[in-house]
Amino acid sequence: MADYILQVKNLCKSFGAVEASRDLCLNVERGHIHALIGPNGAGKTTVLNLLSGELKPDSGTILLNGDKLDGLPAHKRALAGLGRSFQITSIFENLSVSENMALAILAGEGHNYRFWRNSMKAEAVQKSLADALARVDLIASSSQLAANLSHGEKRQLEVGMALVGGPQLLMLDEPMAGQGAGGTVELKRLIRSLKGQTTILLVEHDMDVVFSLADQISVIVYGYCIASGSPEQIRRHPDVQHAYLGEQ
Amino acid sequence: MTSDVRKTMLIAGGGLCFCLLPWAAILFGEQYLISLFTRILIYALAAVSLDLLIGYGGLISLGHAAFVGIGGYVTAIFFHHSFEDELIAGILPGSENALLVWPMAVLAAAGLALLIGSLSLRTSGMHFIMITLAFAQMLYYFAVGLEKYGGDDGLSLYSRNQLAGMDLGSDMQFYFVCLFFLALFLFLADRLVKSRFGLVLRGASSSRRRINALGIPARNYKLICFVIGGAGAGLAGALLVNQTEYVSPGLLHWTMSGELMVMVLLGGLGSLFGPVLGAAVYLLLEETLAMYTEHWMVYLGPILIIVVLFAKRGLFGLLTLRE
Repeated sequence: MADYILQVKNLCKSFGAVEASRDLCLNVERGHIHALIGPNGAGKTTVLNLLSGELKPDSGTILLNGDKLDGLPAHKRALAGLGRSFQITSIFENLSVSENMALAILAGEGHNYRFWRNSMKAEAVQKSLADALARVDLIASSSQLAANLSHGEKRQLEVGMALVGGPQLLMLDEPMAGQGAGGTVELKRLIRSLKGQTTILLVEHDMDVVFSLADQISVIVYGYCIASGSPEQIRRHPDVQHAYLGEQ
Repeated sequence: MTSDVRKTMLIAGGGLCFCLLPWAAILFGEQYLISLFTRILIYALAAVSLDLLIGYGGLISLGHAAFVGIGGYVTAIFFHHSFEDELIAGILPGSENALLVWPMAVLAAAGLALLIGSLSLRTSGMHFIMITLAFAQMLYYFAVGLEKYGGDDGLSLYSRNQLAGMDLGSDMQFYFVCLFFLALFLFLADRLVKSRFGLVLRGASSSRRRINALGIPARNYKLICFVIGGAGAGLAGALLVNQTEYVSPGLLHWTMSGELMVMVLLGGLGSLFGPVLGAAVYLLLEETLAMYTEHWMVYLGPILIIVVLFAKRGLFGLLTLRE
């Protein structure tokens, strides 16, 4: 039997009359890059928000490493090993790049009720800040205010912060959206470098990116998972061609 | 000159001015300046504590007067009972000893902040502003109803608190006590915002989503920030009551919260030292304009609008951030 890091069973979520998730089932294998694709408004981001705890499902179960996440608030799920980036890049714009990364490092330390010593001198920060910044190629801009970074750099920083704790599962919500060609190449390189070490759940519209990176693809239409399989199987799947790829 | 150097020079210069002021006042025969500047120091302490909430915790509280007020009332009530030689609520003896009463004032304010904060922090944004305002106004009317302690008219004290080895009745000595507490609070607050706690706090005020995604329960940090800010304001209240030897519900009124917020904005949000400048400018303007007209607010208003429009980081930002 396959080694599933994430199992989603019969997840349902409605916003009024709109069913954003209908009996959604999903299995993500450890070490895979698993892509979620589907037309606009299919409910892909809703799935990520249900997983990360930003939204509460109406029914259904989520298992991470076999443990139920149901009912846990977002910050506890993050500690359980769910890292994520958002569709709209979410970093601490009022802090410097180093401070952003330092905060991500310190977040994994349990608690930060330390009121006296300078945060940048904390042992964990001294030990891993340089590596964490180097991984996403941001050493040169480390003292800049995060608000002043380019689009692409902000995204790199966000992904870098999500990676710091060594998450069990990294969820990336349209990382390529709004990126120039350079940013896309850089992010693709970064994601590929994580292959095999970090399990990634990737929501992405750029089909080139999806088919070149993903090990598994699930297709979501109207909140329902209509197909799951390898890129090759998905490419040939008649329903998928009809619902999604055929339109392109 | 980099902005860091400018900032250090401005702070050192300001500190020196505050240290020398009493002697300058005596030299020019303008002794009343000592008490005016004592008032500035005390308001500055309250404004800095509010800046911790607004500028670093992202907690826009319009009820900071509640903490100034409770600090003031605790001080006054202890004094009153000591003077009348009667037990507070039939159990506690009163006291005029600053070393006992001031910590009580600070603790009471911190406790109140813990209570108000833990309820208010369930909301955010506009609701947070309104709920903090509502709590402070509730306490204001409670104080108005305290007939035993003067109700509407407030309560006069017969002297200042006793502090071992000092004479707080001397304006000069009291000035330096206030200066000491302001400097101490600024020093601690500056350490605080640069610490790990402060980093979490600043992050949480910037992106709630990201702080959650990092696995940090931000509300606990904000609550502690709220309590620390409340404690600072409580100390300011105790000092203010000592200066004027008088306490009244006015300390708790929302206009007090508003004035403190104006001082923070005028001086520079999120700069700690800016609100000191803000308090000085606000109270000096009030003092000067009031000499010419009782409608001094008419002139203060436009000045405030100009500063807020053209100096987004306040006067402190204007002086330090230009190249």
